[in-house]
Order: sequence, then C-alpha cells, then structure tokens
Amino acid sequence: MTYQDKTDTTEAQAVAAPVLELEGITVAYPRYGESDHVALDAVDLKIRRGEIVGLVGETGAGKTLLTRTVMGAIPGGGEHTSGAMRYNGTPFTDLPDDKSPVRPAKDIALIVSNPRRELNPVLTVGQQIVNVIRHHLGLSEKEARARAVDMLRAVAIPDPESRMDAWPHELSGGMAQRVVIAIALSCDPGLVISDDATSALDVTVQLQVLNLMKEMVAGSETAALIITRDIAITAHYCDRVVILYKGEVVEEAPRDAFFDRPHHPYSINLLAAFAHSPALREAWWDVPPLADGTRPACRFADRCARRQPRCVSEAPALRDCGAGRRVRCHYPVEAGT
Amino acid sequence: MTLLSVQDLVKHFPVSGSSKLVKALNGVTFEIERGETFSLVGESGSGKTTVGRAVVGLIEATSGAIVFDGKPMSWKRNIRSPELRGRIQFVFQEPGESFNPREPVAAAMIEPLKYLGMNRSDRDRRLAEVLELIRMPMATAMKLPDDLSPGMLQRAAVGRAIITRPDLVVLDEPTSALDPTARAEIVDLLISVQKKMETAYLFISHDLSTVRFLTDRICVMYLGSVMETGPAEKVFLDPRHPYSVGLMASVLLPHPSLKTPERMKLEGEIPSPLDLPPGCPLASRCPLVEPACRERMPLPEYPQPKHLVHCINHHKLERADVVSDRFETFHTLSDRILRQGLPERVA
Repeated sequence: MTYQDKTDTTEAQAVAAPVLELEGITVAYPRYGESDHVALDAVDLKIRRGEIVGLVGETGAGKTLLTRTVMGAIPGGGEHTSGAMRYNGTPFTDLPDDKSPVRPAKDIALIVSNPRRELNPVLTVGQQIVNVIRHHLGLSEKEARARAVDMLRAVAIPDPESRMDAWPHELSGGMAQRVVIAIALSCDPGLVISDDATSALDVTVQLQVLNLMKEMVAGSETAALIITRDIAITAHYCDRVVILYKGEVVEEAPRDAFFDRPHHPYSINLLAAFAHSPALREAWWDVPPLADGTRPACRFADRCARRQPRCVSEAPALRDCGAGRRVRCHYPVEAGT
Repeated sequence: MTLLSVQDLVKHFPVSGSSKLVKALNGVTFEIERGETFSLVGESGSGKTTVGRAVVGLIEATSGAIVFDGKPMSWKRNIRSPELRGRIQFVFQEPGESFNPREPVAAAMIEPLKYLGMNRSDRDRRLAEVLELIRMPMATAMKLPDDLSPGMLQRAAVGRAIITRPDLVVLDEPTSALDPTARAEIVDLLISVQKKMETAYLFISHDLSTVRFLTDRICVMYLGSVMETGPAEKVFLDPRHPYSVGLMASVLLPHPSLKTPERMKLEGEIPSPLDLPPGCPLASRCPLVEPACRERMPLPEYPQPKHLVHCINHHKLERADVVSDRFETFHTLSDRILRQGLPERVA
C-alpha cells in the first residue's frame, strides 16, 4: 500500500465517521479488599451526524457516569480503565486538557438537569453566553453579543435584547433551561448531550423544551444524545434507543422497531411500568428470588421473568440480531416466542 | 358519604419586606367521599401542595373552611386532637427526607401508634399486619433508611401512613422522585391497600399518566383556582377546560404512534402568583380567550352531571365522537407488547 492510498482511506473514514464513537468504555471504582466495582462495562455507542440517540436507564445504571466520562470528569475516584473514544474519527481521552483536539462546549456540549445550578448567579445571562462565544469562537464583544441575542431568540425567549441583562434568579425554570440550551448550542457543537435536562420541568414546559431541542438539532446537523430515565421521551424524540442496565448496554434498536417488539426482558420491564394491567406487570416483575449468595452471570438474572439456569452460569454477550439491533440476552423475546 | 369537604379555601402568603401577597389559593372547593381516590393535578405553582398541607393542618388557611367527617377543622379540632389523631395521614414526596436516618424504618413506622396510646404488643402485631400488606419482610424493615432503595423507602412511608388505619391519606407527589418501575410498584400498592382498608386518598401529582388509572375523580388546578373537577374517565375522555386539554396533550406516552395532539398547545409558562389580575388566571395563555375572561373568574358550569368547569367557552371543546382517550389506546397497545414472550409459568 502506498502512502497516497493510506491518506485517501483515512479521509474517507473521517467523512463517514460517527460524530461520537465509544468503544468498550469501562469505568471501575477500586474497593478496599475486594474486586473493583465496575460501573460501566464495555459500553459501545455510535452517534451519527444529525441523529438523536436516546439512552435510557434507571438510577444507578451509569447514565450520568457515561456523560462524565465523555466530558473527562469522572466523579469520586473512578478510573477509566479501558476503551476508546473518538469524536469525528479523532481519538480523545481527557477533555479538559487544552491540547485535546476535542473541547467541551465547543465540540461536545452538555445540558444538565438543574439549569439554575448551572448558571453563574453573579453574571447576567447575556454575559455568560458572550463569554462562551468569545472564548471558543474568538469574536469581538460586539459580535459575540449579537450572536448571543440571536441564540436567545432561537430558543424562543421573548424580548431577547432586554433578557440579555437579566440575572439567572429572575428566570423561571423553563426559561433558565432555554438559556442553558442557548449556551450549549451557541458555538455550533457537533454533539449535544442532554443529561435528564427536562426531568425537573413541568410537562407543558418539558414539551416546549424538547421540541426546541429537536428543531435546533434538525436545523444544524448537530447530533444529540438524550439521556433519560423516562422511556416515553425517547419514543417521540429519538431515532435510536439504547437501554443501559447496571453499566451494560442490554439492548440497542431503531426506535419504531424497539417499541413494537422490545427484545430484552429488561426493556419490557421498563415499558411495563407505564402499562395499566397490574396482572401483566406482575407477571414480568414478580420473579422468584435466586438462592442466597448466588451471583448470576447475567446482571439482570435476579429480576428476569424469562430466567433459565444458563443465565446464572454464563454471561450473555451483546450480539447482533440484524436490522441495526443488538441485544444482550440468551433468551430474547423475538418473533414467534 | 362525604368525608372531607374543602370550602372556598383561600391562602395568601405575605412577602417579607413588601405589601405584596403570593396568592397561592383563591377559593378552592371540592369534596372527597369515603374510600375514594381524589386527585389534584396541575403544574408547579398551581397550589396543589398548599391544599394538601392545609388539609392536614400544616399551614393555616387565610379564609374558608375544611370540614372533616361532618365537623369543621379549627385550632381546637385539628389533626393533633385526640378525636382526629391518626385519622388523617400524610406521605411526603422525598422518601429519604421523611425518615430519621438513625433509626430503623420499622421504628418510624410504629411511631404514630405511640401517640394513639397503643401498648407494645398491639403495636408489634399491627406492624406485622402492615408489613404483610405492603409486602416488606421484617428483616428489611429493621434496616436503616440509607440501606433501602427509594422505592422500598416510599413503600415504608405508605406503611407508616396506613398503620393507624386512617380515613384519609394525603399523598403529596409520592411517586415523582422515583424511577418509573418503582413508581408503578407504589401505585399498585396504593390500589391494593385501598381495596383492603377502604381508605380515601387525596393524591397530589403532576404526573397525569399515573393519575389516570389510580383515581376516581380528578380536580385540575391552575394558579390557586379549580379549573375543572369530575369523574376521571369523563375528564380524560372529554376535558372541557382549555387548560385540562393542554395539560393532557403535553403528556408523552411511550409509543411512537401516540403523538401528542396539536390541540390547545399551551404556550409560555405559568405566571407569577404575585398580584394576580382579576378574571380567569389562564387568560394570558388561553387560545380561546375573550375580553369577558379578563374581567372576572368564570362561574362554575356543569356540562354533564358531576362534571364542573370554570370556563365560558367549555361548549367549544365538546367532543362527542371520541370513544377512547390516548391513555386507553396506549394500554391496549402495551398489553399486546407485554403479552409477547410472557414467561410460561404465568401465561
């Protein structure tokens, strides 16, 4: 292979490369006198340009830890022990480093669930947007201000010129969340991560904010990762759904296929939470406990209604089942079963 | 038979350092029958929590009356008086914050019985009964709150509330701090407890999909006023207040085919309850607003028996042709999905 050939292929790869590619991300917390607690276990995730991916999991599934790993801020002594992260094909490891090719806010923007805590209480709203724009885009104060007003208008804040001088405490929760979204999108990031961004909002405001995010993403070819514990959001705003359970991806599928026939028993358990029929719900949820001291190989075995002896002895692998679907289960719910 | 009657309840909170008032409740009226579930729904700031707190006497109303079991509540006859002690109980939103972190949850659960003067062996017997009802093993109940999951802890909070065999339990957003699976478990528990004990619930929530299948009657509140009250099936199938329609249209259901309807989208947010203008509180957000709406609060009207609406345009929202609401459609759909691959031992 000549040198020329090699560059050609890398360029072609860069064009086709997903915006964010996570490969085998493992984060472990060392424990005294015990084996490490593996909080994220070989998580793979690909997000393509213009795509909205929903990541669903309950408390403790590792959703927030995954964002923190991507943003280079693993909390509480956790260690990123293995795995590779690539942004548009460029590998990166530690985001806060100034020399890193991928910068937070510029390339990957994060929206968290408590907008008031995220805004600086002693700076006006306008100043906070201007600071981010000037730092990343190197515009003059005047240009940055004009851009900030445009951003506030884009997120449907009434009277944006005068709102530039408002303080964060003067904003309602929904308004503050819009400002945070405006900051997140002000530098045209390639990827927006929303970590439970709408869970603290009222239903009417949640809908407005989600519609806004969807429009902004559609208009700018940005990709988005919506992390949530509410599976209903993913049914309406995502192209693909990824289910996380105890630090492992257990199912991944295109949205419509997922909601018509979820394969993994855990996905069905999640959907059962919204169902009305208590009898059906109990059928999925009331699982005889495992014998004392058993540590099942499949992390979901103790709650699984379709459990078989094999689930306790052998850990299932995440396997491909065609049509862009992957499932981690020995006995998934498939056609005709 | 009416158990609790709230009549024209008004609560204004003074704002420190100014003469302004936060008008949290502006004349709320409703009744709860024995053994029924009555839900208060609305966005944050609608005053639903204030109603719940006033009912159990945690705050004193500015004016209006709360009549429990035929007699008005007052400073002499309150939740602490011997006659009423243990008959009205409360479940809080954050399970972790409503338990003493230094004592086992079982100790917290039997505490209400001490104030009823019950002796130790009776208390222990009652605790065993309640633990069976909430399906919690004694070993779990002997743990400290930190060692239990939020769902388990909320289960214990429900147990603590029903241990005195109350007539009424006020549940203030009992499920909103929980994961969807734990939420559904608590709802199932509440339904089974009610079947056995015939307790009435005042269920305060903003989560309409939970409310839909738990409640007998529903009351939609907005900025301290009642917008619509009626039997749950009627209000969900044929809501007659623009706010109820908008609120229900905002609920996302977990299936891509159940899109949120475009009807009556509510723009903007709930205004500040400081110095409310006269007239209907929804006037600033309502797509059907007329000059008359801004002058005075619309009088109650009854489009159907027992279905009360405060809106002069309620007839414009009538939909005679609908046979099932979105929530019902979803449940048919979800039943089909859940039947796929159901384990054989139950199928």
